[in-house]
Amino acid sequence: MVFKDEKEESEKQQSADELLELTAANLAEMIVQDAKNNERQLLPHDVEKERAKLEFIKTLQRSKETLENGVHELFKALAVLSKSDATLFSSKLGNELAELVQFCSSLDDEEELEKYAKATLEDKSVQELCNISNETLVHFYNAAAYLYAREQYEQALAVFAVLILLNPKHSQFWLGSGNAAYFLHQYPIALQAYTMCAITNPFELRCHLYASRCHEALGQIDQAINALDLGLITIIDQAVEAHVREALDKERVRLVNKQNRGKD
Amino acid sequence: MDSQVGPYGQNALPPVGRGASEKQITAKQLMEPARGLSPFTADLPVRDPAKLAKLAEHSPVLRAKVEEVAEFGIANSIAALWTLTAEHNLQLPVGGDLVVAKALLPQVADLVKKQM
Repeated sequence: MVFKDEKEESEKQQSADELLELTAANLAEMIVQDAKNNERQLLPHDVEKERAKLEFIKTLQRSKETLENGVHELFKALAVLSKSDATLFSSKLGNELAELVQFCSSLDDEEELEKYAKATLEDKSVQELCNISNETLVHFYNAAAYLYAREQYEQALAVFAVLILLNPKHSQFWLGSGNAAYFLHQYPIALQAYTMCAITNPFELRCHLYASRCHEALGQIDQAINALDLGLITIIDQAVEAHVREALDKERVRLVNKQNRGKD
Repeated sequence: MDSQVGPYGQNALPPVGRGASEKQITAKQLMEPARGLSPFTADLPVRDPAKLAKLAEHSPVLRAKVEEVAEFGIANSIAALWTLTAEHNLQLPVGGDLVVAKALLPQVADLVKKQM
């Protein structure tokens, strides 16, 4: 078993090394060729775009283990949930889970990786590419929420990472991911997730409030106050109850006082 | 404005299992993630670039991220989260080859420029 693990590790390293052999010259050639193939003018940011794609491919490749771990946790949570809902495991869910497993396996294949990275950069989701329905996505989210509610934050974070890869346009995936990271005291992860939550849903208040807490925990009081200000801007034209605004104002005063005490 | 937008955000309900009415929520409760998550609906959030731009005006970090997403899509953000998650979950030595890729960039830019 140990021997097999070592072999797998060596193969993985070899694959990473092969990717690294992509030299500046052939990377440039790829960019120029792509522009020619698509009969479009070469733009300076093509280089940046190619870099983004390359980085995304490498992240996927390196994160295969994380993805497999997330899918494993997803299966386990779905199995538990199916005990109280006998209708959960339909053939549709089974087929779509199989698509997800197939996707995990395809991360060893560079052509497939290139396809996923290109699609993601073109704003298409892996959910679309794998034909995973919204109904199944709801089941997956429920599995993540189940783990979260049981305070299994490591596992919940892993499942949310899968959900984000499937469809990063859902702000609730970023929020769930941020919250799980928050309770693990992984504030840089939480802050990344909360920023993306705000981008995917500029009407979401909670991401700013919790980001403020993360900044405070990191000793970044200026940024904690800034996050609260973003929260106040978020609700400026929303009908929220007075106590919410009051609580935010109070919290802001507390942070400003804390900041002033630090300056003394 | 979407009629479903409430104090907790779009399409969001008060967190599950909190056991208190909204009136009773304290500042501390409001400021910390609840131990339960809101139900999920598969409808995508409403896109409102004007609202987002207004928020980004007040935060350089958010502004930079908005610009990055506008130019390269959301892939970089997924990659960033995955990299951090992998570092945390599996203690993998990630990042080395990304550094190499970035180091190659000036050379690539020069080579592309020559062909423009």
